[in-house]
Amino acid sequence: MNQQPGLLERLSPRPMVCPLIRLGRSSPLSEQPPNPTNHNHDSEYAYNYHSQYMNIYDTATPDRRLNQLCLEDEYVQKQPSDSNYMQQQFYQKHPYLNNEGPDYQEKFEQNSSNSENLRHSPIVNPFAKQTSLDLSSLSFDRSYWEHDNYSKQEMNQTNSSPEYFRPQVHQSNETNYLLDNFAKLGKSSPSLDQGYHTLVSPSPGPVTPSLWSEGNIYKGKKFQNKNNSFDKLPDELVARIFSFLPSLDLSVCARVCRRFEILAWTPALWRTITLQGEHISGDRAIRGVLRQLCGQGRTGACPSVERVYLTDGAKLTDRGLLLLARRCPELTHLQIQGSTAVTNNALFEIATRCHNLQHLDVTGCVQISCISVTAGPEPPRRLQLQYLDLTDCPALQDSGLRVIVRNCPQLAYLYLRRCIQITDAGLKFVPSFCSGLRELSVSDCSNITDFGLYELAKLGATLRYLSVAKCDQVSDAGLKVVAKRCYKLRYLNVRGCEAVSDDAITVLARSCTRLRALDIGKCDVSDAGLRALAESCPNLKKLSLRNCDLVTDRGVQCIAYYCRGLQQLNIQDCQISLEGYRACGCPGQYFFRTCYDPVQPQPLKHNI
Amino acid sequence: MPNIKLQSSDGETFIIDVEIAKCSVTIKTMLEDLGMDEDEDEVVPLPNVNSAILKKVIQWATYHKDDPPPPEDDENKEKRTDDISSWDADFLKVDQGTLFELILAANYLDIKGLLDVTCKTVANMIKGKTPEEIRKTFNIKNDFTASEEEQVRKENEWCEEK
Repeated sequence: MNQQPGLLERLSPRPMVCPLIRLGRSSPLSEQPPNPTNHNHDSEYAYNYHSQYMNIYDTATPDRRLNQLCLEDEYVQKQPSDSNYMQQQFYQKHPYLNNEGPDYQEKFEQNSSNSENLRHSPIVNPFAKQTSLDLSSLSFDRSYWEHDNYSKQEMNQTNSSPEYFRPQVHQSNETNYLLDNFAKLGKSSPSLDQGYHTLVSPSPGPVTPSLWSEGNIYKGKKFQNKNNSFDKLPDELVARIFSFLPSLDLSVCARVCRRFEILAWTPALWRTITLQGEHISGDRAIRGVLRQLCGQGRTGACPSVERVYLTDGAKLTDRGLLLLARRCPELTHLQIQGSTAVTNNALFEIATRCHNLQHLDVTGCVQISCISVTAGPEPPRRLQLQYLDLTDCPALQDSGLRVIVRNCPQLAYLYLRRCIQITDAGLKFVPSFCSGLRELSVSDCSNITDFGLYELAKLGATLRYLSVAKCDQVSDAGLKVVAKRCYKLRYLNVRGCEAVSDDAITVLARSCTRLRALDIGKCDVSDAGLRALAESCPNLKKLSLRNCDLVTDRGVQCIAYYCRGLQQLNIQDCQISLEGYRACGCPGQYFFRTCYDPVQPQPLKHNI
Repeated sequence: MPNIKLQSSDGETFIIDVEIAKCSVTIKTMLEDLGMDEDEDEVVPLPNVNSAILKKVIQWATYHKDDPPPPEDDENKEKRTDDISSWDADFLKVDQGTLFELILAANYLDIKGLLDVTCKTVANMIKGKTPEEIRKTFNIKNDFTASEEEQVRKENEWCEEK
C-alpha cells in the first residue's frame, strides 16, 4: 500500500518486537538449522539464529520497509538494569514487526490462565499453526537463549512448511495493525497510557499518543517485566503513595488487587476523610468507609479517624452524622457545609461523644440552632471547641447562642455571618463566656447596634479580627469604644456601616496601629480620615474604600505615600481621577484595583 | 569546593559537591559518622542505586540544591498533589520503571523532596481511574476471585455514583 511509506517515515525508529513470533516458523530459506551445540555461546548462537531470519526478511517485498527500522540505543538502556547482552543482541538484529497488535496483552492473559504449562504465552500467534510445540521450557530470562529445548524445537518442527510463514498473511496483518493504530493517532487512550501522559494535566492542545508509546509496543519488554512496578516497592512506600490520594480514590484503589486492599484500608491512611462532590451521598460513603475500617459490626470504633470534611456539595444527614458520632470518638475536625438535613439532635450526639472536637463548620446547615451537651447531675462537660462556623444558620437565636458559648469556653474563632436573628442580647454572652476569642464575625446581622459593640469591646486585647459589615446600625460611638479597648486589632470590616465617619476612623487609626486590613466601604469617610489612617497605620496591607463618595485624590495620594506595604487598594466607585491613579503607581508596590473613571465610561483596570 | 565520590551499584563513580550530596540524609549521616572527611579518596558506596538512577538523582539534587529544607511531615496538613513544579514534572517524564526506581532510590537515600514529588506523581497517575484502568496502567494482576470482586465493589458502591 502506497500510504505506508509516508506514515512510516513519521514514526520514530523503534522496533516492535515479539520475540516469540519466531515460534512456529522455520525458515524455509535457510539450509542450516542452528547448531545445537552452540547454545552455550550466547553471542554466537544469537548471531546464527538471527542470521537465518535476516535472510528471510532480506528478500522481503518493498512493503517490508518496516523491518529495516533499527533500534535506538536509548531504548535498550532503558531496560531494567539487569537486561542482558542477549537481549540487546536480539533487539538489534531482529528488526521486524510485532504483528500481534494491541490485542497482545489480552491474549497473553487469556493464555496464561488457560494453560499452566505456559509461563509466558505470547503464543497465540495467528500464524503459529504448529500444534505440537512444547513451550513449557520457554522463558524470557537469560536462559532463554541457552536452553537446549529451544534449538531442538527449531529442529523438530516437522510440521513446518513454508506455508507457516506466508508473507502475504504476515503482510496483511501487519497492514491491519498499522492502519488500526494509525487510526488511533489523535485520539487519546487514557486507559492504556503507561506513565507520564497522565502527568500532563489539562493541556490545551490535542495529545497525540505516540504509536511507539511504551504501553502499546514492546510487548516483548512487558514480558520481560512480568512483575508490575508496584511489586518493587515495599509496603511503606505504597502506603506513602496512597497517603496522597483523596478518600474516594483510595477506596477505588482497594479494589485493584489484594495487596492494595490490605494497604488501602490501613487506619493510618484514614485520619482524614474528605468527600467531595454532589454525587457523593455522604451517609453511604461514611457508612462504607467506617465499615471497612472498623469491621462489619455496628459497634466497632474507628479511633484513627480524626477529621471529616465534606465539601463541594457532598452532604450528610442525621443518620450519617450519628454513625460518625458513635464510631469515631476521636474526631477533632468536622466540616459539613451545606448539609441542610442535619438537625440539632445529631450535633448533640457529636458534641457529647466526640470529646476532642476542636473544629466544627456547619455553614449552611439551616436547621441548626443550638449545640448542647448532655445535661446530667454533674456539671455539664465543656467542649474543647475552638473553631465554630455558624455562617448561614438563620435558625440561630440569642438563646441558642448563649448555650453554645456557655458550652465552649475555649472558643477562639466564631463566625455568625448572616445569622439574622442574633441581637445585642446574644452578643452580650460572647465575651463573658469566651474570653479568649480572637476572631468574630457578625456581618449581615442587621440587629446589631452600638450596644453590642460596647459588649464586644470587653474582649479587649485578644480580639484580632472583627467584622460588623452591613450592620448599618453601628456608628462612631460603638466603633470608638472597640477601637480603644481592642487595640491589637489586625482586621476590621465595617463595610456598609454608613454612620461611621472620620471621627471613629481617626480614633481607630491612633489606637489600632497594627491594622493590616481595613474595609470601610460605603462609610462616611473623607480625606481627613484617610490621612489619619495613613499616618498611624504603616502596616496596612489591604484597604477598601469602595463607594466612599467623599474620598478624593488627596486622600488616596496620602495613603499611597505613607502606606508602603499596601498590596490591595479598592477605590471602586470613588471620585478618583487620573491624578489619584498616578499616585498609586509607586515603584516597589503592587497595586491591584479597579476603578470607574467618571470621564470614560468603561472601567479602567490597573495592575501596577 | 569540597567534593565527594559516590559509587553506584554497578561500579560507576560520580563526583559531586558535598553540599548537594547532603540533601540525602543517608549520605549526610554517613559523612558525619565518618568524620566529615572531605578527602577526595573517600568513596561512598551506594549498593542499592544503579548508575542510571543515581545520575537522575544527582540531576534533581543539583537543580534543587538551593531549596529550603522541606518542612517536617505534618500529619494533619492536607496532602496536595497539584503542586509539582513544571521542572519536576518534566524531569519525571520517564517510563514507569525508572519512576519507581527513583522512588526506591529517594527512599534509600532519604531525600524527602524527591520522594514526595515522585510519590505525588504516581498518586496523580492513580487519581480518577477505575480499578481496571489502574490495573492496566501499572500492569497489576487482578487476584480477586469474581465473587470477591463483586463483594468489594458492592461495599464501595458509593464511589461509583458519578
